[in-house]
Amino acid sequence: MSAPLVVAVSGLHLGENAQPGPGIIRSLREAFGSRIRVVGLAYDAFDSALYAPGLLDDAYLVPYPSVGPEAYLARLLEIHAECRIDLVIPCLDVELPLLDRLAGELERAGIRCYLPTREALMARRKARLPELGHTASVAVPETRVVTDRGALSDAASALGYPLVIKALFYESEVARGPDEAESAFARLSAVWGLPLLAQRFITGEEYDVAAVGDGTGDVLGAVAMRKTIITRLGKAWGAMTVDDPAILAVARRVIQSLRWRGPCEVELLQDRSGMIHLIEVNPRFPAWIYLSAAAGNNLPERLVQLALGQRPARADVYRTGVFYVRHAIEAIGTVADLDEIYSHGRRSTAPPASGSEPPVVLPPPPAIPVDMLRI
Amino acid sequence: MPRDVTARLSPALAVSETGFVFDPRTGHSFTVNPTGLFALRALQAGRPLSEVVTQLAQEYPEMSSLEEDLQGFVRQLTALGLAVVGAEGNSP
Repeated sequence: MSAPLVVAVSGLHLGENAQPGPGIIRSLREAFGSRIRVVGLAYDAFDSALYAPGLLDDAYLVPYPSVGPEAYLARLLEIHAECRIDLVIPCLDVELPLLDRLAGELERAGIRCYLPTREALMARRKARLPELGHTASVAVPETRVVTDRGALSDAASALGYPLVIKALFYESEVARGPDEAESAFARLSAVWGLPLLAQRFITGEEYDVAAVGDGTGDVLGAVAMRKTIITRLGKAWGAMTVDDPAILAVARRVIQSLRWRGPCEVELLQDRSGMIHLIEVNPRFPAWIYLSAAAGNNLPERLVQLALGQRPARADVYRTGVFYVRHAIEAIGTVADLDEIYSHGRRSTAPPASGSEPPVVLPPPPAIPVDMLRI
Repeated sequence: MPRDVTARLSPALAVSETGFVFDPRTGHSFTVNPTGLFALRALQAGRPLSEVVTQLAQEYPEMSSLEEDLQGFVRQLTALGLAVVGAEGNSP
């Protein structure tokens, strides 16, 4: 029996701003079963998937990408030395430029990635969305770059309220007047830095398309959904698969224009007149990606096949009317878990899938004063 | 009501036996009462509106203002993007 495929996945926190890792892992487990081993790459000891039953076989702490390529590579190679990673699936936007720089060295070490080109990554940036919209023949809400408070005021005068204010990487807020715009500017610039983007607010239905591109412009699989429950942060807490040829055609044109290689999510908005607007292209799978597997078009499985040099057939068929509602529960850990991950940078005793083993009776927590914990 | 007016429904529209209606293009779902379900089935079969009124009157003889009610129902379907009204009836 051949050794299982070892896949390292990041983006492990299912919080208010849910990350894609857990959905990708569920999809891969469904596709590959015992033929896969999943190694979690965690940025924080409180990443929720570390404590969720049945997701991870192994997990390691990694430094934030801001440490730079050398330190990040060194950590990945340390982990590789212990568990022989075959493939890394990055799940956070900020990891992409870093892994792009490291791809050659990772490949020499035997670690594969399936990444978009640097040009495609740049072309999908929020600040260049109007250009992309022009190339792909899709409308884009009017957008202004906001470098300071004066530019914010100018943008508000030009675009009116409500006004969407976005950080370059993550997060956005809808401001309904000058006070809210000022507050959004202060918060988003403090967290994510400048510039920000101000975008005209459009009323309509939000659709997202998750897809896998092969880098030539071909789309090997795509699943469209309509958001049914939207959080305060604009994230989909619930969604349903749909099959609108117009929505899927726009997403395909965007992916073809970018010659996108790897997973992505195209966010679209259909206004009341039926016009479709491009809102964003995310360079990774979305947090809702398990819906693709549930609807019968397992996109993470296709990504793995592509990364392994296989050529999966194009799959355009999936079931419509399949929906999810995110169900948040408490994943439980103890100070002993924190001790393990802080002391060793590794959590090798990830909780098993429920029902697969008898429950573990935990010893009482050690009497460690809280201020001694390295949190 | 002219005899040849039809309300052509979206061909992808899924209608269950219990009156649950699902539009796979948008992911929107609706429910219709038994009278609405009867009318919807007749429209799906391509019957002109005048014939649907006749069938409704045979099925529900106790009901009055059926033609007006059907017109209101079709207006709702059209507003929701589920039907297109016309002599030939283009698919929505």
